[in-house]
Amino acid sequence: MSLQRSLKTIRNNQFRLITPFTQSRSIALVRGERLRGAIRDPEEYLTVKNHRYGVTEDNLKYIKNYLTKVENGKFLIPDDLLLQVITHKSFAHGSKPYNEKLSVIGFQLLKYYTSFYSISSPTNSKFAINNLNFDCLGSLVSKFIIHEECLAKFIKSKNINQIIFWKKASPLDEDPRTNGENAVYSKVTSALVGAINLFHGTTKAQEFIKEELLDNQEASLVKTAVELSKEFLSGREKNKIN
Amino acid sequence: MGSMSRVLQITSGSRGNTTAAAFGLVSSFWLRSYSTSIRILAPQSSTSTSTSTSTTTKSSTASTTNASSNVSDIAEENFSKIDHSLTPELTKNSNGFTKIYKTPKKLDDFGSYERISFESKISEEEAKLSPPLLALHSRLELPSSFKYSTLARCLICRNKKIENKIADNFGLSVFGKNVLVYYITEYLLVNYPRLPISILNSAVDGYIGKFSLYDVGKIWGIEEETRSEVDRFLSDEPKEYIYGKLKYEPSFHSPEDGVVELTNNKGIDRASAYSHAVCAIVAGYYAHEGPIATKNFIKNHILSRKLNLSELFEFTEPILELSKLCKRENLKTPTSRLIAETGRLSNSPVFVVGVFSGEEKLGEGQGASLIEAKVRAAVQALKAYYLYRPLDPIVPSDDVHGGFKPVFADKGEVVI
Repeated sequence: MSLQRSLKTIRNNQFRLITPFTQSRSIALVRGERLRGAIRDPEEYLTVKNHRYGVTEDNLKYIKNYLTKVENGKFLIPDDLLLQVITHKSFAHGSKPYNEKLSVIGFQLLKYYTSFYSISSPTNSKFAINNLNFDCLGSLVSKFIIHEECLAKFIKSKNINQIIFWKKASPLDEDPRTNGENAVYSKVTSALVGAINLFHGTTKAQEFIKEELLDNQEASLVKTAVELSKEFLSGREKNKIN
Repeated sequence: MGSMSRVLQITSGSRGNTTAAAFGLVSSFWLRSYSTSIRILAPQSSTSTSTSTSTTTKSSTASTTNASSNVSDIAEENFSKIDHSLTPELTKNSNGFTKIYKTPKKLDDFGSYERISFESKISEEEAKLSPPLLALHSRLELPSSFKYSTLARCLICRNKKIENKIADNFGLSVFGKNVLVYYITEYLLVNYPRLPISILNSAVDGYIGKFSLYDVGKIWGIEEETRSEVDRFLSDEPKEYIYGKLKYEPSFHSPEDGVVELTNNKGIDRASAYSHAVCAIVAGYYAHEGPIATKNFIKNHILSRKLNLSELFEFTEPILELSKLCKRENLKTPTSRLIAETGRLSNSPVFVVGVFSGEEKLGEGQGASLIEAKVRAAVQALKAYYLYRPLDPIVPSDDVHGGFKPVFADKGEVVI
């Protein structure tokens, strides 16, 4: 990009000048359109929907309200960990603590515990081992329980999605299945489970999964999984007819 | 060896075209007999066995549609036997959509799910008559609560071509894999909290990947049943012998030593079969002994294996990554300084470079050029950061013993 064009772009963009006491030169922080070589204004990339990133009551109110209501705050975790739970890797180019690792451990625990929940349902099957019916694993519903859409729906039902720090890859794409919304929300769910697991231990994390994610009738993963399975099967039947 | 081996020797000794043709024949015959060998496990009357044999022989070259139509027939027969009404579920498998599960009308009634094809299972009395099974049970030091019939079921892999009539290890292996993945991930994340995700995934794969579990299965002494029914018949061994051996529909065919022919069926490879069996045994342990004992079993048999995490790293831009890391952690910008050198003008110089953040040394590296030494120093500094281990870590699943302290949660790896 030529110097003339660069200057033109700077003029067109919003920018502000910072002159710190200790610096010998001024730094121009650019806003708006990306400009090669220029430093972006942190105020811009650290703000999502008018919420400035940071451990503030305003940022954490939705997730904190939810955790406070559940069993009188039995599963509450520290504020900095809560902020990490609602921060995705795509936010601020991964420069702030993000939830990837929490979601990995949380997802594995979800997978393990939901499969245990499925097999330990009361059964009369003659193929059950010690009253555990392993034959239900691999069925559509048991697969859909930990599906991205189910986990995303949980976050939406609890209103936690009002403030999540992430960056949409394509601002024009409105479909949650393709624009990354479902993927990010599902990671927040599994990160919440992961954070509770790391902070309170597996016993409490399993209680949280059972009470809030599986048995809770308002936002049960099982209920959503059943709906998804029916939708999937009816869609398949339609395709068959067409 | 019986007549089968002799046939193979003769065909392999003949000329090219004839050998190729014979390979095809031998292959289809071998597969046919193998499918039969799996089905004969079910305790059936002589008439029903011969029927199933003939069915298998016919369907060996048949397409998946035939197999699925057989399955739906079985389903219809069984509907009347079950109290509550069941509807067949369409489930996707490698053959496309086939009916595999009998699902209840209430889809979340997991206790009522059944596999359509299952007709029988190996009984405890039958399993106890199998010397290889007793030997495997004893070799693994499995507790007496771990039933022989469960162990026998763990060794029967799902046959995607023609679903097994006898209960197989599919559900067990799915659950066993979930248990294994959780405990291994938990162990790694708590012991090495800063591991990048790609390294974490590779490490999990290193512990419980297909080939690692194949090794575990081999070390446990699990034998596979590779003989045809003819060979087994000629060897005149009791039918219970097969219960202690791994049975699966192979995706390959080995007509003679050193020759492997990949077949076009829906079978699985040897490593997958072994890994399914190992996962199933873990699930069996869980079913009979509970989670705490299973965790110890995994610790003794899987986590006891040595995995060098340091060798899994491969940095594309270590100097830049270190610089970003220091910026994120509010450390001073890293600078590389020459600590020692020898033979700068010779053909084999050695430079020792240290990378410093302010006065603190982050890493040190040596190399035949200044750049090489600088890169090595940055790599060492990054490895020191990512391979950090807390003192006396307690994994979250140890909270049952009390005294659990919150585990360190990492911020995440550096994004370049």
